[in-house]
Amino acid sequence: MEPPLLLDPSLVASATHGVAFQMGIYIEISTRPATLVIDRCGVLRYARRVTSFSNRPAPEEVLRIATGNVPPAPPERR
Amino acid sequence: MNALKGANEEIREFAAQTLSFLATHAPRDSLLALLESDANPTVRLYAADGLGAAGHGAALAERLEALRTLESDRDVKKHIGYTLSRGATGVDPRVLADLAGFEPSRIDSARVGEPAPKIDLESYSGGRVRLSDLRRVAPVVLVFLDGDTRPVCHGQLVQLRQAIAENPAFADIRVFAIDPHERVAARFLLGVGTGE
Repeated sequence: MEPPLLLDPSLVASATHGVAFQMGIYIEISTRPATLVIDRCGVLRYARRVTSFSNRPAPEEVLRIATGNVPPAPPERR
Repeated sequence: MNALKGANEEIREFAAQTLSFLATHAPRDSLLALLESDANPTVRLYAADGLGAAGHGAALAERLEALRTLESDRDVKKHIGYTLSRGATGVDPRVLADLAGFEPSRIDSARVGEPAPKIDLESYSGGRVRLSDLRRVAPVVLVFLDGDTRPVCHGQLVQLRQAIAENPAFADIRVFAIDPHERVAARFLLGVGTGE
C-alpha cells in the first residue's frame, strides 16, 4: 500500500513550499493549507496555497491538471 | 534569552517559538517563568513547546502538571500535555539535523512551471518517500495539511481518493498528505482518508 501520510515535523518541506508559519490557528502560528500538482517530469504544474480551512480546490480540477490534459493554470495569486 | 524577557509580546512569541525548535535546556527557567505568568497565551504555548523540545525530568514534570491544572487557555493546556508526554526524550535528533542542514534560500522556492523542489520525508507507515523516485512513473498531488488536524483536511483527502477510484483516467495519480506534526500528533489523522 502506498504511504499516503508524510511527516514534516522539522517543517523543512513546508517552508520550501511557502506554507510554514503562514497562518494563525487560534493562538498558534501554524502552517497554511495548500494543494500542489507535480507532473511526471517533476515540474510543478499547480499550486494553491489558501488562508482558510474551507477553501479547497475541487478534486476533479486538481486531478485533471495532474493528468496533463488541461492547459497550465494561470499564475497563482498569493 | 533577553528576547524572552522583552516588553514586545511579538518578540517574546518569536523567541519562545524559536526555542521550541532549538531544543536547548539553557533557557529553561525563563521559559518556565513565561509559562507561569505571561499574559499572552501564544507566548505561554510556545514556552510549553520549548520546555518539551528539550525534554524534562520528574521534577519539572510535577511543576508542569500543576501549571496545566491552573492554565485557563485550552490550547496552552493541550501543549503542556504534549510537553509532559515527551518526558525526558525531547525533540527527535533527526528533526534537529534536518533543520541544521536546511539552506535558507530554499524557503518559498516552489514555483509553478519550474522543477518541483526535492521532497524526502519519513512516511507515517514506515520508510522514507522521495518524490524524485516517482518521476516518469506517476503524477503527484501534494496536500499540505494545516497546523491543526481538522476534518476539512480529511475531507479533501477523502474526496481526492473517491474521485481517483471513480475515474480510470486518474488511476495512476499518487496523492500524498504532508503533516507538519510529529508522529505523536499525526496518529490522530489515521483512519480518516489516509487509507490506513
